[in-house]
Amino acid sequence: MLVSVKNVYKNYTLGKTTVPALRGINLSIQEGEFVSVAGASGSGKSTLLNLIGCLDKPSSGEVWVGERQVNLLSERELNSIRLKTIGFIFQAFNLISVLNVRENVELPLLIRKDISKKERAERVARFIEAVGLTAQARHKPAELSGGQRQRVAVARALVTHPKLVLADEPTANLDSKTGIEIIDLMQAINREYKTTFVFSTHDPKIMQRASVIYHIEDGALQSDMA
Amino acid sequence: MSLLSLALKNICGNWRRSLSLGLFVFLTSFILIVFNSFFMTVTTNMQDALINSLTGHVQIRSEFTEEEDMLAMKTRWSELHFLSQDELNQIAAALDKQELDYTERVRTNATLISGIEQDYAMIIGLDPRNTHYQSAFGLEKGRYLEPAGSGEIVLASYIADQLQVSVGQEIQATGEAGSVSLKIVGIGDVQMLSLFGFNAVFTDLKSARVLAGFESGEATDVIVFAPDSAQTEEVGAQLASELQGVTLSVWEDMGGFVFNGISVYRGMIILFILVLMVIVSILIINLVFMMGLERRQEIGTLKAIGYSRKDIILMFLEEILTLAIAFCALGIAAGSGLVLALSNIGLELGPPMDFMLGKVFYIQYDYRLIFPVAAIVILFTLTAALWPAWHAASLDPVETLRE
Repeated sequence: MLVSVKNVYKNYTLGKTTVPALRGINLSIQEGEFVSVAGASGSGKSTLLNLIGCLDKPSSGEVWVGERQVNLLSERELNSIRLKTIGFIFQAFNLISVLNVRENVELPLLIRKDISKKERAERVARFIEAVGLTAQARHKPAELSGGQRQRVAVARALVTHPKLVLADEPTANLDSKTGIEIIDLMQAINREYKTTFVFSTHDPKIMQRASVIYHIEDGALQSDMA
Repeated sequence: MSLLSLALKNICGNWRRSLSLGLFVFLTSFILIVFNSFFMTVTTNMQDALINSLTGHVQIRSEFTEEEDMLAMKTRWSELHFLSQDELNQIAAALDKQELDYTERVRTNATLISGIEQDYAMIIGLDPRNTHYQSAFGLEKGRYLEPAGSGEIVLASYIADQLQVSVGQEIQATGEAGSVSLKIVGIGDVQMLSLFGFNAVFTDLKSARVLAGFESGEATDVIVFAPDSAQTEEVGAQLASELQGVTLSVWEDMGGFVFNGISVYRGMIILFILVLMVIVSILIINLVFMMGLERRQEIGTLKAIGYSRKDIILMFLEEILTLAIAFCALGIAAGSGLVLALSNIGLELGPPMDFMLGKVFYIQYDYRLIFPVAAIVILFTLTAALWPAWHAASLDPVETLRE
């Protein structure tokens, strides 16, 4: 079991009002799965991904990543898990505009003291090639199309060799054709490297590519299907 | 890519903010170099004027002389104890052995009379061959004392005005033990010390001895000039070990309220630096805070992919440090260039500035300023950047990713 979410509630407080974002979520994700969290905007998909990604903590319940109950860990330990175990792909790509493709991909490795400079360069080149951007390696994000930018984000997420990649609406800012290409790319990597992918989407065409789909509505899981 | 190249890319990518911060650092370094050079020149000039005109670096006097400082107006110089000819010979032998520059002096009080005008003066009789007093005493008219001459006097302009005399005229000087006729050969002022009411009157030893009644070659003191001011303590200690039965003082002890004036100048420099650095720190805090706000998404992304708060603070500080070093170097270079250029141009000053800075002001450049200025600027810049960098690094990634 790579991820286990047990009876998780997450509430946000807005002034005197408490807004429930997640209500008693239970799910488990196995290594190597290609999982989709589907639901309408505001249903709690991003909140769930943030909890699994150790970016946020639940109001109650347990979140396990591997053997560790991450909702009990310190900020330092969570940083380490995010750096070594989890890769992130964001809806808005979130690339650093002043860095080129190669440097953006290299960014998570800059603070990894356990990886030599040589290995760093090799990994960066390998994943840039894997996402098909070798020719654009020296381009800045502004010089790339939306699809190419998301490919850079995929390479950046993979360069640390994470067990789990979380992608929050990775196709939302792309046209449908490019969106499908990105999902295909993620799926190919999933198959080749056995990396577990969890991505959120509200697009039925995208969610159908997943091996497991979790439907979420108003913060509660509706059903799951393989 | 290294963290340094990341910093450089961020600096270039956010060049407007970087340039603003760099400009503050540049101006601060520039101002500190120029103003410190100015203040240091003023204090050094004042110190040199005091040493050359009055105290020397080391003063040797009778062990019975209980003088507080040479400028204390309450002291009656006519009542000073004196060094005998034998004592002066022993002192001369010790000073000659060390090849030190010195002069015997007779300090005494006298009434200067010209016709119906008269004024009370503190007379300094010295060996005219020792020319140190000349570098402190700025002549307005006439010349300095003839090296081998006698019966001449150089007057402060204030006293000359009081007596209504000019160069070439004879005046009568009457001391407690005798009277002598002296020819006025020069009129001027001790640069900068006239501000403190020091109206110098210099004459030769022979004439001063007549006024003081020193018939057997006695002197009130011997002043010694060290090769430079930094060696004062060393020279003083060496002489103290060789000479017995006399009192030795260094110029800081004998400078009286003039030395306090120099301390006030030093205090002004420190206050100026502090005020400047507080202002610059506030500007830098504000600027780095803005940089943090503008880069919220970048910081949120970095935190999401595993950068710790410490990593992000270090990234910010590396950028700030790179900017601080580069622009501080430019500021110091520009400031040094200006001071060096001005150091060759004597600024002629009129009243009231000439009282404080001298008739002609040559700013001096001291390369030893570079390190402290660089250290102060870089340290303050980094310290000022620390809090806004910590604030930026404490952003909640979930919040920034949601935006």
